[in-house]
Amino acid sequence: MSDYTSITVQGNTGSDASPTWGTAISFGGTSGANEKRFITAGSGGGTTIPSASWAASTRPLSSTAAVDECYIYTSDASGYKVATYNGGRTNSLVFRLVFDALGTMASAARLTAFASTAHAAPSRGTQIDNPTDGSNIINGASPDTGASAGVARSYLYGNAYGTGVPTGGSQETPSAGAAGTTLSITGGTDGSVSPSAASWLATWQSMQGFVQYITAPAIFKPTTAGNWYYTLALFMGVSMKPGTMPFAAIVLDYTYT
Amino acid sequence: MRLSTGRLFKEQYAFFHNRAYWKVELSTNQIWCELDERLEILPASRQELQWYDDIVATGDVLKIRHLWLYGPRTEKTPQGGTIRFEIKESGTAFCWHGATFNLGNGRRLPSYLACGRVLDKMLGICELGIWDYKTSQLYIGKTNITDIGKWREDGPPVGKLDFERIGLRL
Repeated sequence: MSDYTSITVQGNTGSDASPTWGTAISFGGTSGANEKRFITAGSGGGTTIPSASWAASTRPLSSTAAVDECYIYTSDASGYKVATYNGGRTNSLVFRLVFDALGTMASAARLTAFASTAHAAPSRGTQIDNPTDGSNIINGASPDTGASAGVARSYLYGNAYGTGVPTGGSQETPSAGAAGTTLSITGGTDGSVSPSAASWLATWQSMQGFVQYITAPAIFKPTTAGNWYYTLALFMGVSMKPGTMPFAAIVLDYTYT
Repeated sequence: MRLSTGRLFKEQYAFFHNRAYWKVELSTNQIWCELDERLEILPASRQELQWYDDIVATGDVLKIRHLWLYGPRTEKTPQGGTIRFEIKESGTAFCWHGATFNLGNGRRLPSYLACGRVLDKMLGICELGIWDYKTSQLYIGKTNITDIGKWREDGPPVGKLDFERIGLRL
């Protein structure tokens, strides 16, 4: 096979120093299953809540704040808390992509996010009333994520550790501890950024379609099972228009032969 | 073992069901199509042909005389979209697929199929066809195989390719 038959996502239910990887999210999720759900601590997050009943996170009255809890739901009302996700950069072993041994990539993989699975190009700085997708997260808003709308970054930031298993190399697994050195809601860079081999990006990247995204530093080793470690930080801010955001599309973009 | 049974039916099905695919004609007159199948006995399995496994790794990539990219019928392209590349020099045909995997809801989608030929091995100039599932259009143009940029304004640049895996022997 040259395409992967299985790429799954796992979250860490243990600690950064002693990770325990939870049940993987598979292809084909619908109706509340195979979801990542974010919420602020103390707002009523849990592991048995149907998607339609997921509680709201209260937007800050000034400035910005991290959305500091994340849950992975394998079915509509059954999930687990990603214990090392805190909306910050203090932990390294938070999420990982799990590749099977059947794929052959033709170029380096990319990690980004879109407002929905339609993968429409982000409209920087545009906040819409009563959003029903992740537009208001991905588009960002001024002044929260940029000095003006035209340079607004996403409210979602990401970081990736090396390539996973680079061609000619071996599995790259981060040690416990901080992921990168700078996580700022205005720290995204236009275009692509790449971490060095077996390293985190020093500065986290805004996840904003193909306006701002992460590219692996090398091509994933063909027909080799392995894990690509990444982490996320979701923010919200006073410039964000609220709504229900079934935020579906953190995206791995890849090629295969 | 590669089998080409039922190809006409499969091609018609692909045409009407939003599926792009590649096809090659070899110098031996053998024709292979992505919709053909490879049978394995141990363990028993059957699957569609894969460009790398069945064309590149078998050495057939060096025998290609013609390479086609077939795009399906869509509202925008009721006739589909097809491009044929005549391969005048061995080892200059290439092909790869793009895909996205939505980590949030675990859904994988094809994003495009790219086929083409290198025209100038020294400079890397190539002729390229891309069937884009998002826009349901076939894009055709000349570019540089070492630096393929965007084929539409809001799309991603392709990035650096692994030449051997896509079939090139430059």
